[in-house]
Amino acid sequence: MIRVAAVGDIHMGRDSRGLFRPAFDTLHDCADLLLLAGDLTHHGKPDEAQIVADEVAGLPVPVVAVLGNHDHHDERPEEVTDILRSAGVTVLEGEGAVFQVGDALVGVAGTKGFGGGFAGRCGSEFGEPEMKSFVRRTRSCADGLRTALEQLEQAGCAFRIALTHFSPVPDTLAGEPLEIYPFLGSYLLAEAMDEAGADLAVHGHAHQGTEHGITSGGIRVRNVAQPVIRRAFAVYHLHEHPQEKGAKVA
Amino acid sequence: MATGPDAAAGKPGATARNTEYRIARLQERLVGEELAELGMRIEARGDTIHITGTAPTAEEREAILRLAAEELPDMPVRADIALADATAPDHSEEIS
Repeated sequence: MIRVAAVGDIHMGRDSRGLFRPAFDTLHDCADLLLLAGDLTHHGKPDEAQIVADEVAGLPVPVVAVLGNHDHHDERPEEVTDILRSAGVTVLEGEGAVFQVGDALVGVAGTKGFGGGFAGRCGSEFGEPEMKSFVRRTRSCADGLRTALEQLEQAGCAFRIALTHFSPVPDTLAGEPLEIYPFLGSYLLAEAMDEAGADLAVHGHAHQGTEHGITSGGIRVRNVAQPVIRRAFAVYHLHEHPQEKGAKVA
Repeated sequence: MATGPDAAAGKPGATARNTEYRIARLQERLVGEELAELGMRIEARGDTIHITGTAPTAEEREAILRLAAEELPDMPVRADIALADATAPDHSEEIS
């Protein structure tokens, strides 16, 4: 069993410096790693990123993050990423990372993801360049996630987690206006997860959504946007399925 | 037939459209100004504006209410804006 703490959409700025640290300091008692599901800052400014970095620096568990749309707003995502990495955070975009937890290897594959909507109600790569670019961006994120999950399986990970900012399923958007679903996620992310396999999918972005969902392939999905979980983080205990793992390897 | 400057205000639907556009304008201000707030739901309920969502800090909640008062000064605003709870969880979820 591994213990996964996760939160997204903490939207840190000058007013919230130090807000989460007391809770994060309890992680050594309740979690093996902390996932940050994007929108860590308000505007994606370096000084805001430094506040986030200070908030998680020196924690006793690995911290793994993806960026969100807010973290891109100032159009300096590389700087935000560098600042977080300097504090020891593993920042993922279309790639994976492996962590040793007890006897188990735990893999996290991450991408911000993007919108587009859900099967039967989604945008297509058609028409104006802007529309094609929009959907291609989502497809690129999904392709990166699929490849990263496959590589984590090849690396022998006993547990694989897909970390995104945008949602892979509509389930966890329940509570949001239907009209904005295409701006909240894409089925392409879920398709990539189901094809490559994962034990858990974690995302944020949908502040008025719902915590629990599942992909059509049976992967549990959790919306950990802070306004949804209403705590500093949520904790999920993942249990291994020996028979399923055996079947997948065979 | 009514004519003159007051006639446009009396056209059918003008009030409803104005409220709709003014709510949209408020949402644009919440996103575009220092707040970068995309998570508030702002809806008209009869003659009242209802704002719901979660703000990261008390200061941001006050700023949202101030902008709402500026943009919709002639309409009563009812706000159910919760504050983000940054306490550690007291339970976990088993996923098997």
